[in-house]
Amino acid sequence: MNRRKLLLSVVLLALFSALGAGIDAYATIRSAVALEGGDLHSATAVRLDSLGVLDQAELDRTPLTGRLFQDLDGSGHFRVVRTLGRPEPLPIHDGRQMRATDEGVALIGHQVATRSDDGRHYIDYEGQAFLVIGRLGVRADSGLAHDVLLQDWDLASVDGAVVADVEGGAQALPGRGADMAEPVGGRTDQRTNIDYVSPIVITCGWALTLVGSSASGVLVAGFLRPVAALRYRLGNRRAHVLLRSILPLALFAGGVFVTVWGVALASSGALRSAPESAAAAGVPLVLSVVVSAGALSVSLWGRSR
Amino acid sequence: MTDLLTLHSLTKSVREPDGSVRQIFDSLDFVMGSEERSVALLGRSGSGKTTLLRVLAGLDARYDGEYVFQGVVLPKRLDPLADHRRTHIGLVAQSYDLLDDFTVERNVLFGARGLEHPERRTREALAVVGLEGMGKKPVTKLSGGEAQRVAIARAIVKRPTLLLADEPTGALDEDTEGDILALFDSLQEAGTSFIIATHSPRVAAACHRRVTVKDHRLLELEDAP
Amino acid sequence: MNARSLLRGTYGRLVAKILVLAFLMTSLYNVVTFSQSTRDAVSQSFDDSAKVDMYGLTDRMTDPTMFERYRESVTNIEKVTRFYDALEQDAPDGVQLLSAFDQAMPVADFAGGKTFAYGYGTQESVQGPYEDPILGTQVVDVKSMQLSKATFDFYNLAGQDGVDLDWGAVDYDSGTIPVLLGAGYDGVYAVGDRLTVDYYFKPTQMRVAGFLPPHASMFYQGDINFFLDDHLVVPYPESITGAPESDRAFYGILAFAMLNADIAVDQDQPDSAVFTALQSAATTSGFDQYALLSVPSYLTQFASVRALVHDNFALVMTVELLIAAASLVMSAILTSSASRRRERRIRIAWELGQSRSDLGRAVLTIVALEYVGLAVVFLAITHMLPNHDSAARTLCLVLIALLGAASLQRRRTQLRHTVRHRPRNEP
Repeated sequence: MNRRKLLLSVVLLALFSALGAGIDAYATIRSAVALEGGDLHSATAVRLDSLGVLDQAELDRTPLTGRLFQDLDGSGHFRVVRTLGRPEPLPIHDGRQMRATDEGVALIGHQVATRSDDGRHYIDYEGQAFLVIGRLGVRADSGLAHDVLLQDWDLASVDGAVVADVEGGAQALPGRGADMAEPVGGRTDQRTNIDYVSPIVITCGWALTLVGSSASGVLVAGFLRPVAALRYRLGNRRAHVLLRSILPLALFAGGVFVTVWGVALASSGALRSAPESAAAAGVPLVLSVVVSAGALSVSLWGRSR
Repeated sequence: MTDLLTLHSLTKSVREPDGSVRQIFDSLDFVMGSEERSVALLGRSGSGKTTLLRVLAGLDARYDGEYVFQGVVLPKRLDPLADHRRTHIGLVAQSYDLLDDFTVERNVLFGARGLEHPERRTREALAVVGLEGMGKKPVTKLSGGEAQRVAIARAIVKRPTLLLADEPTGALDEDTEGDILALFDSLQEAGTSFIIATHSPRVAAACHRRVTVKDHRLLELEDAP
Repeated sequence: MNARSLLRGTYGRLVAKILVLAFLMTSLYNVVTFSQSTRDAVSQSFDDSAKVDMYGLTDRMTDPTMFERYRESVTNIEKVTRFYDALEQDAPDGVQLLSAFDQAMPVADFAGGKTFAYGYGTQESVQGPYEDPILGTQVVDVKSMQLSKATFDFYNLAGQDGVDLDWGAVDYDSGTIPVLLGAGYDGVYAVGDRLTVDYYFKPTQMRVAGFLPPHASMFYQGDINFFLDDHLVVPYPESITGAPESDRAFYGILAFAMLNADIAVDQDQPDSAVFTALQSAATTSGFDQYALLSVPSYLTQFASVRALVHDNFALVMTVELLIAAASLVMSAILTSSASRRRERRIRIAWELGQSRSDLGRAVLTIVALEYVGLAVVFLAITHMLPNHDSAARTLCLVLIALLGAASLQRRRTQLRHTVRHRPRNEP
């Protein structure tokens, strides 16, 4: 492969890896932005008159994904939350997301005062200390600067109203949830009209990424083929030929991956975990390398000669 | 003394695109003695000369029959055949198979990988074929004769036991053809055996033995054409 | 060598190229329609209100008995109306009264569904249809926003398609009030329809004058995302001073309802501006039972929502640029790959004696096939999308035509090169 073909190969790898990472970052940030504008509720959130309409025992057994919120002080900014499964990430600019298994933790806005103890930050409520694990808001100076989310569902009152934001909407809630639900979500979506743009951008973007990565793999295989064919004719074993051809490609892909992953992590900040960003940047590269190896093998040894 | 190579009852057929079966070889037998220096392989276009060379090079393992090289029956698996090819066989293809992206020296170096002092062996091979000092020249700037010499240099750099050449002078003028044949002679003197597929009467005459592929088998040609 | 011969073996690449470019055009179309609606979202209720501080105005008459007694006197009511007039008409520059009140409006024989009911989607409970003693028929309490022209203009509200309220025709004594309906009412009522309403215990006719555009919104009671899609928008008259004599009960309630307002003060005004304006109005009118609340969250909310809209827009543009780059690179690869195969055939055809104009026609046919195919696929996909924007569609079709023209020019140049030159080492 000459320098021009090498450069083209690296550019293609970088382009589709960046596209995959870009679409993933976009989806994450868009979702966080929408949640921030909607008081952390998605467009399908519903309000239930009381927690009692839900069958709690069934709720514990049903594998739902989403969150339940209950206002603790009537202001709408001090809430208890229950995380179910692995929902869309909340808009945070520091720290980490709440997991379904976390107990006694809090996410708070930038302006909320905390108590320091042994290098960790806590917020106290009803005699209980909640460990602060992150800061709400895509940016520090956001509309969530005064918000507090506590994760300890024992604080929730059976008679209090609950906002349920789960995948599948009200129908997915056990008990009489579906009958008693009123929609509350969608405010920022109304401002940004992202409900119809985003799915198209994300779906087609990923389709282009996967098709493009595969096509790049085939193209690169074409660049590698003359040398690989010669090595085979000179008496090298097939595995050796394949390895010698694909290994440099994999190394370049590794370099591209590190660069793209780094940029993706920097742009999405605390919103996206490192493994998730790595997957988005890495999948197109892995696909390119695998398709390249496959295409090379087929072109050299696929047909009976 | 053990023969250099033996083919026993070599049988091969291929399925054409229209579904019909075409017989290439039918119980073909061939022996090349270890003292034999060169064999010309003749036959009409499409008779199977190139296919036979591919079988001998270990590039084609889809046949019935037996291929014995220096007393060892070669398994019909591509990887052991690759080992055989790497160790014993030099190949000069009809289209030279040079890599346009590389220089003369780099092209020959591919054939020298795994050898001791590959750069030195490369220079020696280029000297043998009369291309000393041309190592840095891009292959795209070579004449037909020069390109053929580079392909031969790459084939002989590892000093193979057997060199298989497919129409080595097909695209060359008479004078250049003569130069190539002289080169082959000198290589034979040095101990390399040749099997050359050719249409050229001059090349056939320069070989010590002539066989032709006819009716899916090999026939000896006693007299020079 | 005709177009079909040239295309042989490259159909897959042709189809792939059409699909890749169709996707690019579709995403571009989406982004263009989206950016237009983003600009609308920002200018709608955002532009002017960016430069003000907000204060909440209300009355201090919290005791219901005292409140009732105060309204029994027409003189007292006129104090309130003149107080309103002084703020509305005589306030100094930079101080604006934005009167708005979301009182539930009982509507008889209501044709809409429960989403329009007052309290739906909020903390309050929804009351179903009930018998209204004033109208003597079944009514539904619907969401309503009563507001002044100043408020309407401040939040850049306007009727759709130029069909708007005639503020000059707002005369409560006429018995019919022109109203606007939120965009959610489209299909429920039409322009010209009449609603019978219990307006502060007074049977009133309201005539539908038009509809607000979708997602029309305003800042109300600390909420910057107060959308009016499901609301009945009732205009206040410019002044009701002089009217209370004719219907003391109705105008007594209305006068105090109109005092529910925000006061927007330009940021370059001194802090005392709002107090000075209120003091002056109180002196003129004789009404001083007002209270002022500051609304500190207004600017924060405004800034963060505007940032959200812009952030989101910036994100979409970034991703669109990446998609465009990837699509164009892929298209170039596919074109180059197909061209290499065709070039050799063209050269052979030329050497065999085929004329250049014949070959040119074959090349033109291929380009036409590619770009007409692209246009057809693009139109088919966008037809299925929920957002329809003919201007954006036209823009994309023009781009397709330009791409096609550029491609044709490049292929013609390539053809000229191909018939003049032959590769090295070929006889």
